[in-house]
Amino acid sequence: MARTAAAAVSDDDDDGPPAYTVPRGPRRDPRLKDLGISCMLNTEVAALLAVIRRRPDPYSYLPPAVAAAEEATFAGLIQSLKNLRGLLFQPRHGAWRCSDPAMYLKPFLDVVQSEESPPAATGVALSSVLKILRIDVFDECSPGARDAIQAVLTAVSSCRVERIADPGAEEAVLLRVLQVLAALLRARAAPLLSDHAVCNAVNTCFQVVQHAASGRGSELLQRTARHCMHEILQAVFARLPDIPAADAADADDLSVAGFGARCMADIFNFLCTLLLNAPDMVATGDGHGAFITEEDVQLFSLVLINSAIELGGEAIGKHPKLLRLIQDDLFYHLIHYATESSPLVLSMICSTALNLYHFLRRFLKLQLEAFFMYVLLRLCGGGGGAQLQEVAIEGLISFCRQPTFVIEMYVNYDCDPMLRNVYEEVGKLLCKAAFPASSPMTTVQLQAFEGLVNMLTTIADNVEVDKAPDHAAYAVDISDYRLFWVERWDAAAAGGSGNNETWVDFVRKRKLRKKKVAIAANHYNRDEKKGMEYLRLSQLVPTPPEPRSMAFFLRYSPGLDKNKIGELLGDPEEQSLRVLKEFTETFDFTGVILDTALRTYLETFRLPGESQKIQRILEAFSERFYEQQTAEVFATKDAAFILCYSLIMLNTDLHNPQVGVQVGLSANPLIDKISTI
Amino acid sequence: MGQAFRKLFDAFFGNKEMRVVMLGLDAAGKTTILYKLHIGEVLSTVPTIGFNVEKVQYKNVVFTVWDVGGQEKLRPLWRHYFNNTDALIYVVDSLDRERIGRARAEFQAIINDPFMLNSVLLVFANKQDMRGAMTPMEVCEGLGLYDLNNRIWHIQGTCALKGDGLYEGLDWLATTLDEMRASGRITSTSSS
Repeated sequence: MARTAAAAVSDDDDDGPPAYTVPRGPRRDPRLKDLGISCMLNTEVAALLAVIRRRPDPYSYLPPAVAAAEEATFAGLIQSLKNLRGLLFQPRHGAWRCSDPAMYLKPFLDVVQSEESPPAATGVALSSVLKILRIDVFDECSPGARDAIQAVLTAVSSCRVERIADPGAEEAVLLRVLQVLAALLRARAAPLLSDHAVCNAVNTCFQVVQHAASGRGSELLQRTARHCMHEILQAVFARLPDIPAADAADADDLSVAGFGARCMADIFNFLCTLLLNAPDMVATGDGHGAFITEEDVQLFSLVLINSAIELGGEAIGKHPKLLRLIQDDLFYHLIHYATESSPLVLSMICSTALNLYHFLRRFLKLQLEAFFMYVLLRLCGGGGGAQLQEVAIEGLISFCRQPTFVIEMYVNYDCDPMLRNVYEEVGKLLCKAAFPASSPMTTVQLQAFEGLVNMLTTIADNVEVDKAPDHAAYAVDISDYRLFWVERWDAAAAGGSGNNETWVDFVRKRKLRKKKVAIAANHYNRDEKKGMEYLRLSQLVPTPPEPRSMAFFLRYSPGLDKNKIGELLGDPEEQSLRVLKEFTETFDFTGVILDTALRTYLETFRLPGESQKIQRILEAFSERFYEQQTAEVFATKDAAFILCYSLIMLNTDLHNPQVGVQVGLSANPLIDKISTI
Repeated sequence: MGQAFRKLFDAFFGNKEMRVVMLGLDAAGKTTILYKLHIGEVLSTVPTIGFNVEKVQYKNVVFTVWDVGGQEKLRPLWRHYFNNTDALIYVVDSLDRERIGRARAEFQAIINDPFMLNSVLLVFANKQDMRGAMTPMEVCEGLGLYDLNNRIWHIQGTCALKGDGLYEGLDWLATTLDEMRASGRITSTSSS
């Protein structure tokens, strides 16, 4: 033994220093570390061999033939383990880190994948793999690391637990599977996994979550499964800041080939789908479904979504696909569920929204407006009951505590003619909620008061007392017309990026115009002529009238009566026809399918009922849609028009309660007509 | 005896339904007419997006009136609504002398559709309260009503804004319906 060890040391000396050195931590003798790894591997091999050989009943006598047959079943596994053991202490060029991991992983992975392995052997093999991963015996620079780590995932995700009859043994194996998956994603070589592999890992873990939740697992397995799901997700999304932006990533795909934003988008999509399908996930009497309650599913997915957002952070904004999932799918679900769920779910939803605000608010202007108007302000006003009200106010105050919240809300929403006065609404609501209507003060009142204090403190902290402007500075005069709806601040035109005063003036004018628009809309709702008169007097539309400015007024004025808009758009006079054309051109239907585009269009006004008006409006829509279509679905503009017109006919026939016997709704003849377009 | 009694009962108490389509050029007053006829009915709390349709009960006849399109390229779509239609109400803007020719062309095209051959024709010469309006007789000439063969038609001067003349028109429709049923001419009218 001593001679063998001495020989090994001697050989290493002859070959010079190892090719790989440990990059961090205090420098240790690499030879000692490698010997340690060899001993660890030897221990694992010995343990696994012992378990494979162990009989269920060690004292029972087996006929030699039976014993031989059983031995033969495991011969391959046993032989590969013995071969590995024989290699562990042999002289080797370079450290373990520079060896192909497949060499020492394969025997263990074979046991994991084998359908004949006893459950205990499978568990021990998984433990061995787990230890190898945790110690980081190999990393992303090791030769063959990519294939090795992929092999680990393949083995673990294909581990057969169905054959394990004993629930306890099954659970033990599942726990190990979970631990290996979590360690795998956190290993230093994890970035070498492909997108598909990462999704596979998440899917495997979720299957265990479902299995555990379906009542076949213990409480421990349930908690461990969810915890590992969380760990895996955290490990994956923690890498997002290191991934280059989408365009660069596409170019690098061939060379890098590690997992990137694509699997993250898929995972995120999966979580949103989970949120969407929460009712289907709930266990039913016949055993389908895995979760106990809908709320349970919602909380589970929201926790994971929140972690993904926290770890991905601002980097999410560089990946359009991922960003779009948040803008469309996630926010839809947040708003949909917020007003219909329990206080706990609402609290999670508010936390998610706050995280999204913090990291990605530059991309979520419209979504946050919708969240504030339809969730927070509605529930804070008592729209969902007292319990939800309290949670919603707490959520709202969390926003108020953000240092730049007040300023950003005012400038981005209250001063934007196209959006609602979110800041003003928040302030009004907090004042109302804080008002001491009864004594003693309720929790809601105290919370609302705290919110108000936060807002006032933010304002006070940002006021430069020395530079307080004169009272005259607030007398903003709008003396000329400009198309202010889509106007953007142009720092270059202001003659110097350091001058904030011009920007402040710009914002003030914008806010003033917005107020005038609201007044004009109010006038217009009561009397169109007076509304038009006010628009001209306020310089909101130019003199002489210009169709485009009127179109923008009709399109973007909050609070304008949709019936009035529809009547003007349907009017046959030449000026109205031009307004209709400009109005329709404010829409962008590129890439949108017809029925979605038509719904979007018709949501902005009430379609008049007179046939000629409908005809003109749909002709304008069809022309715009046709010229913007990317796929050549419609041969002519008229084809799109006739289809739209037919849709309105069918809608009338089907839904108008005044229709007696439905005449045209024998759909076949009408469809025949449409198909000849 | 049972059958005879049933017929007698229906004649006195049953409602008859009549399907009517309404046409006319822009700004002739179709929407106002439908609105006026609607007064007295329960308004829908949720208005349906789409074409104006009103169900009007007058005496013992229930009229369902559709505002349909007359433009040529849209007629193939509307034809299925013409089928089994009992009556056509054509609304003319009596002030609009310039476009009476267009109204005539549209009117003639519609009434000659095979699906409309059995429909009775009621013309509303609207805006009769305005100075300079064509008289109903002038509208008759303008539309070519005198030249119609084998068609039952009637012209009624109206002022939709006040509701004048509208129910007289419905009166004529209801009376004509009764006469057609009595004479045994084929109609699609059903008792309800």
